[in-house]
Amino acid sequence: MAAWLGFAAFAAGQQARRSPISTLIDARPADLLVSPPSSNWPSYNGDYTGRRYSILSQINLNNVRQLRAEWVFHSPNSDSMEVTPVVINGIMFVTSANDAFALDARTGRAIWHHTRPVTEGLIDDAAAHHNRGVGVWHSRVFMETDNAHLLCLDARSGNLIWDMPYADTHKNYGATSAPLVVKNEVLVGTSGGDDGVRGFLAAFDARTAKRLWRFWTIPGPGEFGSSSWPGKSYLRGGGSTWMPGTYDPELNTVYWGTSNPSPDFDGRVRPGDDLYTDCLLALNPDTGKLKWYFQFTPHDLFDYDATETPVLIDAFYRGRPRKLLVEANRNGFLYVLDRTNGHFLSAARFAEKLNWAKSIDAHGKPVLTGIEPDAKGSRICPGFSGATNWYAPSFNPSTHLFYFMDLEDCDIYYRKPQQFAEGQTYYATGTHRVPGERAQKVLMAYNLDTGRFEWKYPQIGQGQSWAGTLTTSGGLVFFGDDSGYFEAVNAKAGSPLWHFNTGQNLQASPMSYAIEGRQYVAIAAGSDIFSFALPY
Amino acid sequence: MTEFKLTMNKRNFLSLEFGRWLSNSSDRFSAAKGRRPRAKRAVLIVVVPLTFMALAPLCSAAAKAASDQARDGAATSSGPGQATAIDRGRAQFISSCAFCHGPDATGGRGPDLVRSKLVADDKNGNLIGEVVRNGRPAEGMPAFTMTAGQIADIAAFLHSQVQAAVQSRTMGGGAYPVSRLLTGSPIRGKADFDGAGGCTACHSSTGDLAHIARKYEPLELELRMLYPPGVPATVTVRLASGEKVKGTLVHMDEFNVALQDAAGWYHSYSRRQVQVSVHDPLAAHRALLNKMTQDQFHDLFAYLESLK
Repeated sequence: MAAWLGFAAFAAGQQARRSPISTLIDARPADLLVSPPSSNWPSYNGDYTGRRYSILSQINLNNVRQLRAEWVFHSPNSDSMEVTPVVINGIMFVTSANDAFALDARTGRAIWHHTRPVTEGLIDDAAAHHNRGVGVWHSRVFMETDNAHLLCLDARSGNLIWDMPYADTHKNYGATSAPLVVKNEVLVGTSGGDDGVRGFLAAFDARTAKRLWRFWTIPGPGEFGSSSWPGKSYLRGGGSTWMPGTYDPELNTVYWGTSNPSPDFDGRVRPGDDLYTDCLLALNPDTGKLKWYFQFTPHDLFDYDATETPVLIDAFYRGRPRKLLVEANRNGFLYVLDRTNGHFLSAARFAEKLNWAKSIDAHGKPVLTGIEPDAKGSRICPGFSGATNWYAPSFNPSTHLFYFMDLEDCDIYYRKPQQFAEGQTYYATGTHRVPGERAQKVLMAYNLDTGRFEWKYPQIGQGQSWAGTLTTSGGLVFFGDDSGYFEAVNAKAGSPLWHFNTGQNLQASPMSYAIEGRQYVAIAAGSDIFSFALPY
Repeated sequence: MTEFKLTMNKRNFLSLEFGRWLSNSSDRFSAAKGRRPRAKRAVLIVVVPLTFMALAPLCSAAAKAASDQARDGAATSSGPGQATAIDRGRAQFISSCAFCHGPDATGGRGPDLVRSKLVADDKNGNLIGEVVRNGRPAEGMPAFTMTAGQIADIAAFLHSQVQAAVQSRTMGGGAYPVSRLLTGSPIRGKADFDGAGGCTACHSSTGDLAHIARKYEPLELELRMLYPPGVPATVTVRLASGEKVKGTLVHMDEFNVALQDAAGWYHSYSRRQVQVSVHDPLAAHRALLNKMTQDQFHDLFAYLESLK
């Protein structure tokens, strides 16, 4: 038995490319620190850095053309899965709406299925019942439900250990994210940033479900930043926390992005910067205390959530080694920060269609053009879906390139005063497509050394996909393209190498894992999980 | 009578009873919401022939609606006048037809008329009447002289038997008449049980099967004999290192084997890399079933049913 207490191999990480055959799961906090991920992919982003860089290289530049689908798992209750699978010791955990599945990652066969009905009466994102996956701690699997419950399941059986409602004070709250396990706690956020919730990040004891702390992203009366929130408006200011953050164990800091303010398009009821919306928060995971924040889009009028993955990169930057944080933001600029203190280092415009700001100044603040949503409608770029979004970026330390998906698109934005009401969205009106304009998805490779875009890979499609990237030490970037194809390109040159038609819209980000020395690459597409490997 | 292999016999024999069992068990499973015990499912998948699987949707959909009707008997739906026609038809059938087609029309020397395509297509005797009046000399059936009324009565009886067969799968607990199951000889059954049948290799009428008929309803007892539930196979996987892993067999195909160990953890292996030995406690039971004839089933069941 002891020989296949497989986590020895997990802990050994990089050197152990062969995971043992599927075996018991005991993801200790130390095991979750393994970086980069190899056989196991134990969290939404694979490791705490958010780089989505797999050390596996069996599938590489030379053989990726032979890559073929190994299995397909069909989920019965969602046609738009957004999950990134988590794999530990040959068992894959995926979610789909409020259901969780454990799959044999070698065959895609379901081992168990935890099911609960979707929640009726939700609104907006929560009503779409999206779910992005699980967190794992020891032998427990955690997921969020559409109505913002945190579920703790037994990894062996899927049986429910506990069920903690964590946002039950307001019915516009929901959840779509994957929880982030840090040390012995589970961090969860909510959706509802367009629906007048008061955003927060909460930490629960992974064993007991006790809430350890909660950080409100909208300051209460008298607190720093409260001048933006007159009266009771702080209770519906948005700033939700709908994507997993990243974590630097050395700095003992969790990095978490917040959404746009509420109401989205009418900023007159929320004067000033609207802290802490559209922010990157640096928090102490033990206490939930804010160390520093960086706001990308002060007083946002365009729905530019800052929930894109804040990627932690240690690199030589302008001649000296630095602990960086890189984020391609929905507002069309890519930011490089010093993650030890939140200092702004640089910003690079990546969206060609961009008219809300002229540039980013030396302090990281946007220089506005003055274009705003109004009653007649104004054409604003990037549009409602952002110049990029939650779909995962990645960073390859060999190429020193940062990969992410750019959406070239504009929308016509309208504004109209709106009273907040529970059970209704709180956009204060909305957006329309610009007649005659079409969207374009582009895979971007940003060179951290030169500050330039090394290559761009435009895609065929209508700009309707929501798929992210994965990069590997095999010299590859995997990503879901804009026409239902799962693709691999040369990480250095951006040249196409392989593609596979999933036949469905891609709304998820890929990952990689290995079993018995065989590398797999997997992605959710439409209602299915696809897993690929080289022929034997 | 021709000796069919068991799989064939089982289908003929059980197509009435099986539907009811399936509908009960599907209720059980849906209540369990995916929490169904894995081993049990595995056994089901192995044992249930495809034709029965195809019945499942019929049962679940129509079960609730039809069950009350079915409990009252097939005739209820057709009204009181029809019931008399059925009774007259039954009497007529028994005197003129049963010696070949069996008293319940499920076949004997002659074919089963309950599952006859011609009967299914018949409307008020239009097809049946033709066969009765002309006979089927080539198959040895003589022509009968009957009035239109007599033929209509026989047709009504046959249709009622078909209806009863269709509805039997939705019958509620305990409603299935034990007389339909008890068609064999307990004496022959006992002889077979103790002798050539080979049952005593594992079972004993005073040990594990003592008073077995008190424990289960007749239909359930018969089903347990034919589709023994719930005893999972165990498996030992020998790894290349020589290490052995044991557990309950969860899944095995040509390529992979999967088991659940005593602590509940799942393990799966590529079969090319390991040696697998499966111990299925029911293997001998299934092997025996595959050798038995329909008569042996009836006899054995009659014997088991006598173990009160």
